Amino acid sequence: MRRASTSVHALVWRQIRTSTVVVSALLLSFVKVGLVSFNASGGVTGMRSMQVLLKNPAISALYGRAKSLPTAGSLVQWKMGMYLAFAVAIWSGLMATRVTRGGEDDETWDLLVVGRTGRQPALAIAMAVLAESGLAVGLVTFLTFLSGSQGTTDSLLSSLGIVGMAWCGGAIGVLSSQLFSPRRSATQVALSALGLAFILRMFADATASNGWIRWATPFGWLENIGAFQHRSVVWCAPLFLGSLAITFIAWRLQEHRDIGIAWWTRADRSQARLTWLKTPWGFAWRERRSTFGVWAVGLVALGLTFGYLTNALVQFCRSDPAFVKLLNRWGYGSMVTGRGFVSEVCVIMAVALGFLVVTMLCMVATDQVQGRLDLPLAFGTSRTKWMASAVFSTTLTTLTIALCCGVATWAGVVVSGTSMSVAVPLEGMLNALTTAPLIAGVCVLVIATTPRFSYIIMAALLSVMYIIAVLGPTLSWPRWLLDLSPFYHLKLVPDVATNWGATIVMTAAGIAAGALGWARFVRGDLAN
Amino acid sequence: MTTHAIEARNLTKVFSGVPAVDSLNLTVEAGEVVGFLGPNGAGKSTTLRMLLGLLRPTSGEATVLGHAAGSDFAREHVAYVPGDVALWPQLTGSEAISMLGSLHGSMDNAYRDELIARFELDPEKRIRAYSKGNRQKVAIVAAFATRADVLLLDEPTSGLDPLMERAFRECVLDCQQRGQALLLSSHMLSEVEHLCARVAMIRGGKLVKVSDVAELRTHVGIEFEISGTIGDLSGVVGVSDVSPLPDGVRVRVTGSPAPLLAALSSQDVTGLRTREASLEEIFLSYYDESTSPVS
Repeated sequence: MRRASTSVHALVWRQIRTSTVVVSALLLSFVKVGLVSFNASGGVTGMRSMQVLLKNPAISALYGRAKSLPTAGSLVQWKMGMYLAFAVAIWSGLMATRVTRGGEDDETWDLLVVGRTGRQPALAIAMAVLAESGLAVGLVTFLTFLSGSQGTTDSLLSSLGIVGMAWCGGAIGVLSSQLFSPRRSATQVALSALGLAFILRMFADATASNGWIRWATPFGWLENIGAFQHRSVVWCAPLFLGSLAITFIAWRLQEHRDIGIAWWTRADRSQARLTWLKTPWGFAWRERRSTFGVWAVGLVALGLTFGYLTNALVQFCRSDPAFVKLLNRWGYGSMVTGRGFVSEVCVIMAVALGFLVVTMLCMVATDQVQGRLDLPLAFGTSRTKWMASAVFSTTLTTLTIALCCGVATWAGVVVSGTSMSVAVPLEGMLNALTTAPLIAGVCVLVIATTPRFSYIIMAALLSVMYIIAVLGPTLSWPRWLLDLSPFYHLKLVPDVATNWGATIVMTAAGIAAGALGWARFVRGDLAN
Repeated sequence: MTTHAIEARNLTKVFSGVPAVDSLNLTVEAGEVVGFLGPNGAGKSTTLRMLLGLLRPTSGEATVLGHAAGSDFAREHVAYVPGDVALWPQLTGSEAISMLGSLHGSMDNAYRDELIARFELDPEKRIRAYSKGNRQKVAIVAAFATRADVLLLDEPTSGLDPLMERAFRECVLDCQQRGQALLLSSHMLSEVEHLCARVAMIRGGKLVKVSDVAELRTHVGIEFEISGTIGDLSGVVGVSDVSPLPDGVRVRVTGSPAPLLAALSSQDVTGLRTREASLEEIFLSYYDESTSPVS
């Protein structure tokens, strides 16, 4: 029995070890870079001037609350902590649905549960492995902070937050896998739940009266732990106990259902709907429409939230000239107006749209790896047409979501009591889309080269590019490195004109990478 | 110059320095069903995937009706049944068949409905709810209903029950009568024996034999079970594998049986039974010995 359990443990670890290493490496790099940026920003003296920034509710909504930034660790925790925890929770959720619902979908889970281990212990082992991977990334975070001479207690609290969010994401993923089928649905529900929890935390931090909302979201609990701030270890309890409770519910849910069938599974039988099945173009849309729906709802909600924060920021700026002065000094002078803030939001949205492009395009890689392309390609569709229809569908959905997000941001701004033309966020969103051709082109190349790892490579690439754009200028990184990041070239449209030179270069580079990828996809082997 | 339905000329595929298929030469004509036999990992699926254009040959050439495998023309005239059907789990069987038909550009709807009935497929079920055998049926129905000139079948009946195997055999015979060309990779030797007049055997990526089944039998020979008081037959021309039976002797004869019959004419024979070698025995005889590839 023990030997069987060890085998199941090893098998599950095999499925998530690569991504655990990648996520750990990314965490290590981001925290390290963040720690270095503290000195580059003038150290303790420099941070003192940021004090006024921390009082702003819009800034709190974006990054979380902080009273002061006296150490490098506190800067990293404030500026990156919430987003790193969000990324870790999403990763853990993805891994959870992959191991559990994915295993049931492709029937590998059957092999695990029919052996000597049994179904309930097998799920418990899978959950334990997910917990261990969370501990691994937490340990890396702890050691990175410690190696940067940050205090042991704060380093521990910060890494406990990371572990807690990894456990929370994993627990939500496992629960979603019990409730929904197939894996794509389970993943979409789990990630939507995490996205909603993150947006709730933003609302909680946007105004003092919303503070109670922090109790309702794990990101609020994370914030209340207060690593490098007020240190309240007691808030680890809801984070960990909540995760354990969700995990236990998921474990019990599996006990009372059939393997391979979730609690809410779409009916096994259905009338044929042939409208979108006649051409690869139509099928590309049909395959992506549920993903489109989830992303549209998520980004529209995010746009509304950002828009809603505009008034708080503008009012604060009007009441505190020192804050305006500071923003000007830090190069964020444009944010003192609603228009400027919305432009900044659109630049942030460019990253989300980049992930959307990658998610949509990487479906080709998933289909290839799972052998689903064999039959359509053997039955007459050309590889060129298949890839072109994926790119076309991705382009249309990304454009539509960007425009919806722009309108939602505008609606949020208006609701918050600031008047603004809808053209402002729309122009900003269109500007954000100037990075999309490059991201799509590189993604096609990566899919054609390494389909199995395309999503993780592109996700890591986008994260690194964003970090370069955000921290590179502050840390005086070499110009060539900054130029590599598409996000660095985004201007604050409409206040500043679109950087057409960079747009043309990025588009050309995207077309070149896409053409290379296309050639490789069309001429190479279609391996599963 | 004759245009073959399927032609592989010196077809070679090397993966990471290891040849999976090595200088394979094979032709299949219209109206012919050719069995493609070989142990696991022999290179059968790799060959079929090259004929489909899914894998690119390292060297050599694969053509379908005279056009390069994977070209627009070839794809329009080929249909395929894989051994393990992977489709989008949310589609229903009917949607999957319809989609594959639309992508192919042609589908005989009446024949499709007939096939659905013949294979007892429930087309309104989603792919994820199908068993392996039923997923296999979806691909079989789609492939046959296209009435494609060339059918590439990679262990198509794996997962089908015996009744459905019989339905499959009837479909193959229909295709043959219509003049379609079929290359059938299979481990079901009885199936190949029933359906194929010609077989190609592959081993370690090399084609070891392409021959009529009847001709192959002569390679293995005919087994004679002779009852009576029989003297030593080991010296008779063409006789091998002499083994005693309680009431006589069993021998294998390769080539003409005339020398054996001549030798028996002077002996006290009370009974004589003959048995042709099954394809399985032929198959095993080829894989037990180290056979050099065919040129």
